[in-house]
Order: sequence, then structure tokens, then C-alpha cells
Amino acid sequence: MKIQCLAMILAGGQGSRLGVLTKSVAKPAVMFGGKYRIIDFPLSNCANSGIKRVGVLTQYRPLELNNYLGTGGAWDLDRHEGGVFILPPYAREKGADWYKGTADAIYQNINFIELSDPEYVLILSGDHIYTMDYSKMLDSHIANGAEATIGVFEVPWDEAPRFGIMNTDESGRITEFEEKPPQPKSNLASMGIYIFNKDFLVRYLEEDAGLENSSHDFGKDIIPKMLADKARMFSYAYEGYWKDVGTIESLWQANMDLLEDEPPIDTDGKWQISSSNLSMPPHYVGKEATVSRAMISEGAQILGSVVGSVVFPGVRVARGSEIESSVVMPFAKIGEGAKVEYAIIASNAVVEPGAVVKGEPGKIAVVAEGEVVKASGAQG
Amino acid sequence: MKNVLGIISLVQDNSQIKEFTAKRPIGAIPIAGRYRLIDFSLSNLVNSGVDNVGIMLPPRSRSLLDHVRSGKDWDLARKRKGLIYLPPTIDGERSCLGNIMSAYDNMDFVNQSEEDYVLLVGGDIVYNMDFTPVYDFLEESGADIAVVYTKARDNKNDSGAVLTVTQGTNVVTDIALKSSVRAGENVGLGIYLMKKSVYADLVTTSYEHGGVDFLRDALMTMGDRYIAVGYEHEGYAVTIGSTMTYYRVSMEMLDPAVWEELFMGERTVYTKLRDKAPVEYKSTAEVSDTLAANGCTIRGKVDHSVLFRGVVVEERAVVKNCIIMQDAVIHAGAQISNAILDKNVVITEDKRLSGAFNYPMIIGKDITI
Repeated sequence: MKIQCLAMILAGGQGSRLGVLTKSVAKPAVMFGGKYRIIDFPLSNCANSGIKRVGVLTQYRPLELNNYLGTGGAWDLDRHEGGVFILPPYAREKGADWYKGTADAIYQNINFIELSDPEYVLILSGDHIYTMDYSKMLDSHIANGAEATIGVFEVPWDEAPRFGIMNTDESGRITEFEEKPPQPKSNLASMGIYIFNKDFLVRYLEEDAGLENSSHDFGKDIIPKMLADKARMFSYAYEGYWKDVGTIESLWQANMDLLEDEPPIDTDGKWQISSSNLSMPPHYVGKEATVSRAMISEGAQILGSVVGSVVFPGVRVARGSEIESSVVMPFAKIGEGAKVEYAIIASNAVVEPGAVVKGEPGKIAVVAEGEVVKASGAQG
Repeated sequence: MKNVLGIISLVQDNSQIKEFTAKRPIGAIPIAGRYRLIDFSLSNLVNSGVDNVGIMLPPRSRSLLDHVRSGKDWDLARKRKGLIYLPPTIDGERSCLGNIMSAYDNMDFVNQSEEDYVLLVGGDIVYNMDFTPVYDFLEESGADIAVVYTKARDNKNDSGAVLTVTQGTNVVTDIALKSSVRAGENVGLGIYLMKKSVYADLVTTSYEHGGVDFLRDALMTMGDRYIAVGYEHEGYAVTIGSTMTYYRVSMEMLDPAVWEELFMGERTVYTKLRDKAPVEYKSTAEVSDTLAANGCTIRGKVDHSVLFRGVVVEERAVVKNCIIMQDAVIHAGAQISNAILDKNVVITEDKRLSGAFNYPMIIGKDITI
């Protein structure tokens, strides 16, 4: 059966704004929500939208991400005619190159696209938390007879100048694209989600690849060129929860959003978010423990107090310790009497007995993977 | 342990635990919040390097098949070897109350396998054990069969097979089926390692003489032909033979030392993997001394209990000394104590239910109260 739509996830980003959290992993492999990784969201969205073949473009620290994705079985993508394909930069006749930009990354994998031979190509980024049915966007793309469709999200007007803004006519056809306009004419921000007709995309990528002064970026080069050529480009408005988790603050905030009484995103609902699960026992909450407004995962042992926090698998919270408004990632250890506030504690980190990690709203403290925080002196 | 074929037997007399086995094989009984009983034996085999495993099924095995499926989650979905189901032979009572008929009928599977040894284990044991030392022990002893046992820690045990072994050589001189086992006695765990030829001879001879159960009608009656040695397993190990034992063992898992030994050591207990979000504790939650599996939402008070996946405890509800299986809902203001709720039970608003600590109330699958 012919593949209708092929998805390509741009997962090569270094994620430098996430600081030590991306010291050893690519941004899409960063943990979120007590058990997930960021890439679980676009992958689950693909699986739930009926997209069976997904290319994941990796480049920066790909090892953990490759290991995590495997053959895609966790998302039920290990199917005939389908599957998750990890696409790192590789050497060709003319030499090896890193991906120079988002468009170049796709360009370097044109042979994969041609091999898959889809009618449409869906381009996704791997750094947002959202649950979106891409099949509806594809329906709209087909109904509009579009050559390109760009996913847009309505942002508050005062924040619009931080985004790439799409100006459209009444039919939703894009008339103008402005990157971070000081005086925006619309508040429809590009989500970095594109559907292209395959041949149309390939043509533009090949053309762009030959341009020396191009930065080979979708937002900066490809989309403006398509618009200049008066291509049929439409916007598709997504309504729902959509969160960029590209910074420490936004990653922390997105975790905190899950602790609301009615969380804005339901990972266990009809739109199941899947992940590569571990075989771990239920977590244990001890006799003197306190847990409130918390999300706690398997294999954790809570003997202290956890309030307003997200706790990942295998975390140990010792007696008399207090965790508040924080995110504690897999297998971290919080020692007896330790205090953690407004912080992100990365995997396998140790907060020793009596130690204090204290951040504040707007200035979240971060303990790096495997880092040991000793009792003397607070860290900010 | 490449040279060992694993067989998990689920065909046995379950009259003491019939509340849970009416609709499922013994190995499919949910335990410890997210597991099924068979996960322990299956994981122990895999972790000991056994990669050819047969599961002897009783009739009505759908829930077990749905749990184990291809064996993928235990890394047993292989091109060569892996997992094989040994379906029941329907022939009235005799084929349901013991495993001899099934063992006899599936003998070609054993004969065709390339392994030289058979490790026969029950699917009703809670333990985390490496079988490799049993193999070495049998080899060194020069005996024909190794029988694994544990020393009873107290007098709270069910009926069981009590082994008498000679000091030093550990040769089994007597096996007695007792209605209650006392502290310090050697209790057989239902784990037997032997050469394939010994297994075939025991099963065939027993079958030909109308035997039903491997232990009672094969091992115990042919002691003069073969030498058995006892291998003592020193870790936590309990055979779930009755509803009371099920309740006691479930509560013992709240002891961090037991939880640690069974689940957090080097040998992972594998189970069917499912996507479930972490537990959501809302602002009104008050929880202590409790195991909670992913997918639960808790707004009420829970103490000294085990909550399986997807359990909902609403505001003002109180749960104490309970085992609550998958997807049960305790509505607002309900109070339950000393109870075992099977899957999908619903306790409606402000209802009160209570069993006794030595005799829990059991609410069957899919019941609304």
C-alpha cells in the first residue's frame, strides 16, 4: 500500500537553552511529566493520527535517543511498511556534512523520502508538548488543494513579536510571513509544523541546496521563497495545549501544569501518549510520608514530603526530606532532611542528607545528571 | 542455563484460592499492584538464561494469554526457541487437577528440544531467584533431581510439601503433604530440575498408573528409583496456595525490604508493559504505607494498602488495609477496610465495607456496590 503521509521529526537540536539538561542527550530525549521524553509527544501524535512511517533526524548526542527509540515498538510503529527510521548525517560521495539547517537536514535525506514515496511530507519539531491530530491538518491541506500547510497557534497579542507570524486572508491562505514582527498584523504563530506535497517540497529543497547565501532553514529561507513564488499555502489553526519546552523555565512550568486539578493535557485519555516503559514495581509511599498535588511514577520510594512536584521512576526520597515545586528525574536520590524547592533535579543526581537546593519562581535551580550536592551551603 | 528447558505448570488444584481462579488460571492472578503471579517464574527463568520456555495451560486461559502474548515483554518472542504454549488436554477432572496428563500429552515438545535438562516450576510462587546455582548443585551432587525448598519463617503457612533432608548431603529422604506447615520446616516450592530422561520416565510411568499430580503421583511414588536432593533458597519465597496467603503476601510487599528484594535488585521482574501516566495525588490526598501503580488518581485517604493500575480514590473516601485491583473506583465518602477488590469493582458514594484483618472481605470482578 502506498504511504500517504511520511513524517519527519527534526530531533537534532542541541537545546543549548536547556543548559546541563542537554549535556549528554539531545533535546527531544529530555524527560518530561514523570515518565515521558519530549519526543514521545510527536511520536504518539503520529501513531494516533495514523501515520505509520516516521523519520527522526538526529545529530547532536544521538546515542541515548537512538537507544530509546529502538525500532519504534513502544509507539506501535514497528509495522510492515512503517517504522521509526533514525536518520543521522552520513557520508556521501562528496564528503560528510553536519545538518546545516532544518531544510538542509531534510534535503540530505531526500533519498529516504523518495524511497518511502509518500504523497505528502509532514515536518515536525521535537521540542513541544502537545496532543495534535495531524490527520485533520492533512484533511484540510487536501481540501484546500494546498501545496503547503503551516500549523499555527493563536498566541496572546503581546507575545506575538516573539514568534514567526502568519498573515492570512479569510480563506486561511497565507499572504505574508513575518519573523518576530515588532508590530504584528496577526497573532497566528507558526508552530514549526508543515505539510508539503512531496514533489513540491523536493523541488524547493533542491533549489535551496544550491544557494550559497541561504541558511537552509524552513522559516528563514524555504517558506519565504514559496510565498514569493505565490505558492498555494494555507494555515491550519491548532487549538489546545501547546507548550514550547525549550528553556529551563518553560520545561519546569509545563511540568507544573500537569499538577492542576484538571490537567490541560491528558496523557492517558483517548489520545494515549506512549513511551518506552520500564518494568518497575508500583512506587511506595511510607508511613510518615506526605504527598500532595504530586505526580509520582513507578519504582520510586517516598519516605519524606513531596508537594507540588513531579517525581520520575526510581527516585528515592528519604525520611524528613522536603520537595516542593520541583521536578525530580529518574533514579535521583534526595537524602535525609534535604530540602529541594523550585528546582529540576536531573537523572541519577544526589542531594545529600541535609543539603539544600533552592531556586525561586523565574529562577529555577538545576542539578545536573549525576551531580552530587553536598550539605554545606545552598545552591542557587 | 542454556542447557535447560523451562516448563511453567499452571495446571493444579486451586480449591483454596477459588475466589480468584474462577475466571483465570493461577498464574494470571494480579499481584503487587501491576504484576501477575506468573511474572515471577517467567522472569526468573529468563534471568537465569533459560530461553526455551513452555507454559502448561489449564482451560479458561484467556486472561493469561492476553497477559503473556508473544512473550515479547520477557524477551521470549524469538525466531529460534522462545515461548511456547502447551494447551490443555480436555479429559475431565483428571486433566484439570494436576499436570501429569498435560505433561504426558506435550512430551513431544520436550523430546524435540535440544536441551538436556527440564526445569519444572509452578506459576504461583512469589520470589526473585537465580536458578543457575540449582543446576550447579545438581551436577555436583550426582543426584537425579533437585527439589527447591525454603525454610518456613513462621506458623502462618498453608498446607505444603514438607521435605526431610539428610544433613550434609541434602538428600531428600521423605516428602510429606501437610495441612499446615510449621516454622523451621523445609517447604517445597514446586521447583524441580532433572535430566530430560528422568522427567520423561517420571511423567510416563505416573501417567500409566493413573497419576494426576507431578509431586504427589510421580516424585513421591518413585523415590526408590531416583535420588532427589533438596536445594534451599534463602531469599523471600512464598507459594500462593490460598486466599489468606495471597492477602498476607500482598501486605508483606509494603515492607520496603521485601519490595527491595523482589523488585529493585539486579534481576528485573518483567511484566506486560502498558502505557499509564504516573499517579496523580491531588491536594486533598492523604496517603501512607501504600504501594500505588501508575494510572491511579487519589483525592482521598489511603493507608496500608496496595493500589493497582488505574484505581480512583475520590475525595473523603477512606481506604485501609485493602488490596484494590485494576480500574476499581472508590467514590466520594466511601469507607472500606480489610478488603480485596477484584478488577473493575465500583464502591458508590458513602458506602461502608469492612472485613477483618485475619479474614478479608473479597469483592468479585466487575461488581458495583
